[in-house]
Amino acid sequence: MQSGDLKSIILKKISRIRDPEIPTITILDLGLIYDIKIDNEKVIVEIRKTYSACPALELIKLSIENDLKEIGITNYEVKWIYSPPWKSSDITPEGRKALKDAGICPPDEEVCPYCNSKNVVLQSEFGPTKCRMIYYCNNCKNPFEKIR
Amino acid sequence: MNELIFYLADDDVILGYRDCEWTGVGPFLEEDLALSSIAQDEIAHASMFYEIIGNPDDFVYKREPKLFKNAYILELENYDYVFTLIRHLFYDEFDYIRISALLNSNNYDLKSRAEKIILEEDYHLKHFRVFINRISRKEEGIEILKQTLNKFIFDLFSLFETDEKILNVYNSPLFPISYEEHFEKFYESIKNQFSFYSFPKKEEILNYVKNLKSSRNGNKSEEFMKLYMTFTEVYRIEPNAKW
Repeated sequence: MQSGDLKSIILKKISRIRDPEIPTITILDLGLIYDIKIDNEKVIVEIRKTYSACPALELIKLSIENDLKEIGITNYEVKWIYSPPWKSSDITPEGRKALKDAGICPPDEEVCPYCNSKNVVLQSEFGPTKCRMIYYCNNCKNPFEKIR
Repeated sequence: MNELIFYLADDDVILGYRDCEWTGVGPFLEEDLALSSIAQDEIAHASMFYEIIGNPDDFVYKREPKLFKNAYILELENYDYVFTLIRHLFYDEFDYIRISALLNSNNYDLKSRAEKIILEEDYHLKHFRVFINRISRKEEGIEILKQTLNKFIFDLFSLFETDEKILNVYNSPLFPISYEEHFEKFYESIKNQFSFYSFPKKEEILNYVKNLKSSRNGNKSEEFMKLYMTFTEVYRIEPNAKW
């Protein structure tokens, strides 16, 4: 098999893995998959951390390892890449939509995911998980979360 | 390399554990969440550094207390929230300069991690600067801050305690900043943050830390030992367990 074929098989498979904490979004749309390399028959999947201390990351790594095994790959490494660091702007347009579907405002905009009002106010920079801040919508009176 | 990693990571992990003690008992809900989140970051940053040279768990749970290179001020109990805030701001200002220097390291492992960590340290710093700034808007708040500063001022500068190994990590391609420059930058920014306070002169502080033979030199306080027994407690129940 050509290495290009193998790479696309791997990418297709692991792209389906979802964020354990926000199951509407895949790790591909989150921008976590950085590169897939094949070096001397060893498959190296490079992934990035959203926030250093996110507890979901180990679970994601494990899911990728399981997927690689399922494809029949035995010689592999799933590796954290720190540079260039992940930024919330790496989330794809599909990812932004998936976040809205989950009631979470995507980064770089301040819009209520429930009523689309821009009359919102930041309540706390620290939310229920590492990546989320808490906002309040003055229009529909709902609190909501926004990706940092 | 090992000396530099311990210098960076031991501070993070010890302060991270102290921060954790506020989880569930913070002064108000948002701050409880914020400090718990910051605690997670500090411990994660330590882990990222340790993994460059080995298994993080080995360094945290299997090392003897005296081998931890953390600063004395970071191992002290939390006392009250004012102390927690002041200590954290001092540490974050101190650490931010270290991490910034690592952005120019010739070592990829250090440099790439610094690129990630600095983004998170940015908002830690902002959080504590804003908090202290708000307290110091009123005379009453200034008095409260002053009381804690008076009590701990020299201990707070124990961040700059060194031993021979720590002095050697400075000014190298791995960690391209001098000890003097680190101190200078720190002193200026901390003076800015606490503009209402008259700090001891630079020379006086440098002279104090030069002669200090405290936690960074392996002389651990009782408070460190208590903390150590707590964070290694579960590990010690079943040392070879896979969790």
